[in-house]
Amino acid sequence: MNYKLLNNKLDQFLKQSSAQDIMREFEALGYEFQKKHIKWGDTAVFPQDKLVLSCLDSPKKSFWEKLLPNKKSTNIETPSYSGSFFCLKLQHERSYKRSI
Amino acid sequence: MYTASPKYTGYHGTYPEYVDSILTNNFRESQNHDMWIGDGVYFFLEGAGAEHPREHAKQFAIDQCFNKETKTYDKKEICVLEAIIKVNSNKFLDLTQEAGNQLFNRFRNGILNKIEADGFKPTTPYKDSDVFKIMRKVLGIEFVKVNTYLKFGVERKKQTASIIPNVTIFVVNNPNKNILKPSIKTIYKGGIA
Repeated sequence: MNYKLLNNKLDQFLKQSSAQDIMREFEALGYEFQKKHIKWGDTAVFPQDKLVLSCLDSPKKSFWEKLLPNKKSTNIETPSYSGSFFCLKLQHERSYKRSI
Repeated sequence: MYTASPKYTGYHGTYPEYVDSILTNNFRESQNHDMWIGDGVYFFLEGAGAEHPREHAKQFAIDQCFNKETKTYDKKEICVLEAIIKVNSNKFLDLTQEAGNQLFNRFRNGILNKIEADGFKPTTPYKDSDVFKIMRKVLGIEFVKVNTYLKFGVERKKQTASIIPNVTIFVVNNPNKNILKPSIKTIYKGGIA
């Protein structure tokens, strides 16, 4: 086993190849890639409209019941449900949609 | 640099209908291996197993023709072929040695870290067999030796779950160059007991 030679070849390959080159090798084997993180920048579209519409589609369940299915009796206007929690839920739904 | 070429004696389980073709034309690489270590000709070698590797080849051929739906064997007979493999050390990845494992892990971490650093991830997990395919192409590897745990039918009956290797597997690419055709011979032919 000539590991010195093989390690040198590997070093050279890693130096010369980009991530895109390597992804192309995997794609030739049937792999697909997606962006790892959703970037929530200033231009991110807040999907509030979609959520409100889906709520109207099912009038038996309120918007908040859908959002917090295990907390039906909770008053969402209490301070324990902060805005940050609300955003986290939306982010979760958005991540889920991207992974379908 | 070219170091001395070691030779290995390998054992391959197959079926009588394929033997003449192998003896005449040499082995063919099996393709699309989803598991294990990718495409190539697979042999059992002396190494991790307690039994002679011809027994592993025999058991493997028996297990391969077991039909899970009908619970019967699709073949009546199996064969074990012996062959000598001439190894080019410059193209040999020996995963039974730490240096070989380190090289594989350097390769896998190196390429996957690049993809991750670029902000991408695959939609399905990376398989060893695919990493090996790329590794063969990039580093020109034609021989891979590995100790692994193989759950033969007998192990299934014993309800054994283990990570301790029980066989040594050798995968060869480019068989016409690397497997000495005159050395190929049938060392066992028999029915499935």
